[in-house]
Amino acid sequence: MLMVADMESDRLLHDELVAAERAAAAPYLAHPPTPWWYPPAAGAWFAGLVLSVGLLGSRLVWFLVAVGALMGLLTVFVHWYSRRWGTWPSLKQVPREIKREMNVFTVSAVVLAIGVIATMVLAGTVVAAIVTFLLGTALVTRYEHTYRRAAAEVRERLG
Amino acid sequence: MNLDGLDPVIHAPKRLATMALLVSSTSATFAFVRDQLELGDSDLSKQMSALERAGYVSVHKSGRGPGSITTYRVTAAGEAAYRRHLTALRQLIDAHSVIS
Repeated sequence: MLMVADMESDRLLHDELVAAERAAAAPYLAHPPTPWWYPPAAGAWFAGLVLSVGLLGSRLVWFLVAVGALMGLLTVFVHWYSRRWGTWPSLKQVPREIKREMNVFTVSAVVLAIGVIATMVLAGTVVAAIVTFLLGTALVTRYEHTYRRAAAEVRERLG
Repeated sequence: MNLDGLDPVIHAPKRLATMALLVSSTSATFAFVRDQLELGDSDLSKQMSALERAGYVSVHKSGRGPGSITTYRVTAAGEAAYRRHLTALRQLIDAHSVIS
């Protein structure tokens, strides 16, 4: 009888832990689909950053205005999207499947940044901005796809 | 086996799930928490009041009337208590596994 009660309390504790893990994953899983314009907008944003650095880097005031405008756009987007969603992830307790894809994205973005800098030096700012827009859009599109797949894996694991 | 880390406020399953969700968020609206945890309005309000009284969450209300939005954020004390509770819970499960 004691063994059955112990097994029952084990199961209850385990279920509680799983329920907490499921709740912790919610901010990473339950978000509205990103709009169709999000990847090219992200690509354009990165290209804007490249243009700001390349064309305005020596003109401090204009550079700060341009970067300020880009940060303003980013802030507006984050604010709008988080209101639509009802939350924004804190990057704590990231489900391991999603963390994997975030790491791949980060490494890819760093490699892209290095490539863009090299392109800027070799072919100039405008070419680098075009490359940034195209590859940045592709990178974000791919990330959206792999994130959705990882989110499905999390849902399957947690039930 | 350390039971000291088990928090009497967070121990209730609904509050544990709520804290788990809030630690993963920079902030979360009432509607988001309610829908994700599948709780009723009054049930969630009761749970959030208990967590707020314990100093584990902060509440921010914007707007007035039907369009107003209530947003919750976990406090530093709340996150620390949650992590301690989770550690104690896992230790308890591991200890039970060893005994059985």
